Amino acid sequence: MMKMNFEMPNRNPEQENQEGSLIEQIGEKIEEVKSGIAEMIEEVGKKIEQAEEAGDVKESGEEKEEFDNNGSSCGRGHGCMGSMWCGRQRP
Amino acid sequence: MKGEYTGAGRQLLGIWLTNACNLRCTYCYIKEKSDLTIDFDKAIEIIHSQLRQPGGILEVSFMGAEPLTRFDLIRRIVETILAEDWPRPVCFSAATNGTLLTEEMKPWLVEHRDVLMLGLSYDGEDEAQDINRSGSSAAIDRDFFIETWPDQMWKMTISRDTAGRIDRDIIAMHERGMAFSANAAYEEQAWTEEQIGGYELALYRLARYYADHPDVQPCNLLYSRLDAVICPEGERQPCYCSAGESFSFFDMQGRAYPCHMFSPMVLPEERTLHGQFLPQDTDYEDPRCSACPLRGVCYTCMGTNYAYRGDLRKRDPMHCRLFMAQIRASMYMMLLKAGRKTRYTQQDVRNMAAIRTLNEAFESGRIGME
Repeated sequence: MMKMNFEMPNRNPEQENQEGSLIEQIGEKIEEVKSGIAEMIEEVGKKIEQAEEAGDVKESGEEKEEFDNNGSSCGRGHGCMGSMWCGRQRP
Repeated sequence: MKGEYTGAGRQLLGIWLTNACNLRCTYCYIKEKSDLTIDFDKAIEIIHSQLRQPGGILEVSFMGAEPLTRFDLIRRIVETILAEDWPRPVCFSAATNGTLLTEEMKPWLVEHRDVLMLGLSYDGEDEAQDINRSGSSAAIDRDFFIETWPDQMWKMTISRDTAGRIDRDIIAMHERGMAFSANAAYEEQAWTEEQIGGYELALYRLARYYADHPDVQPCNLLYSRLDAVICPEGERQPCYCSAGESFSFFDMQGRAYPCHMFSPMVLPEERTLHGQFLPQDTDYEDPRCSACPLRGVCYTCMGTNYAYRGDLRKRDPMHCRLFMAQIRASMYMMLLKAGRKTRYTQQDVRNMAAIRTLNEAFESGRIGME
């Protein structure tokens, strides 16, 4: 699949209504990601399906599992002490 | 920690120490800064009243504008409490901007680091810190915090002005080797469409960084277990908040609130909610979110719902947009990671199924507020 470009579009000082144009360009990039994700789902999904059919999928736990580090339990953190209280390993 | 800790019945006690702060952060939610500070006797009275009650460890958190403006008071309170024996264990904490730390404070803080934990607020690269937090990066001895409290998370706040560069800021935090929690301040400031879009693009760059660096644990903005983010049909949004349950808050007059967001520190006096309530069994689901498959993990703060929208359940649509961007970036990250693997686990299979479900939900418009 194509290499996606996530850099912020540059402001063009000579362009009129550049804010509208920038938002449009950002929107186009995000749309590109959305279709890129759909494409990746097909590609990666096929690889995983093939592995499943071949019986080549390991039980979870056999290798390092991905895990989430979601910081504060409410997730907000700002405006509360979330990361101080909920997200740390407590004594 | 003073006393024996069994882990059971932990209680957090927030005490508003002072209204004083030397910084003017762009996203600050505190209503009014002044030199007002809690009276020593009042602070001791509040802590004593809680220490006399049965329970597990009591964590006293010195809150405020900036607690280190009154280091003398913190020191006096901590030493006074530790000088006595209590029926339950006690420890202390405070979040700080770090700029007022002096060489004179350091030996005492090191000596008491097991009973008093300071968590630093730092917003990523020095440039982001300076944008958000009054040009304060040069005044902070970050190494002291890292060395003294290596397990203490730092708070990284994302403002509208730093939203488009969070990949750089988060990578800087990882490179420092610090645990941190990154959170967007979207209720205190209105974000423009450009800033919201910039945030999403930065999340994709961050997702790519994590895919390129599989040994770095993704920060709290991105999810690795995508099957866990989908809420089973019929299940309600959970109440995550411990305000009024294991957490209570006292203002400088000794009045109790479920948390500081309901107190005069944030609200005009007539809108404050006194007492130590917020029943955990009440339904806090926003009716606009009841069909969203992300409702099980989409966090909310009832205090800010009340403060900014006048209703404990009423969430911020802005948060909804930012959270959807985080989920899309999480999908992208996990697809990139899975695409590079040569062998798969059952968790990969579950993630893939979840990504398909989420993608369909995004495409059909079922994600988000109605």
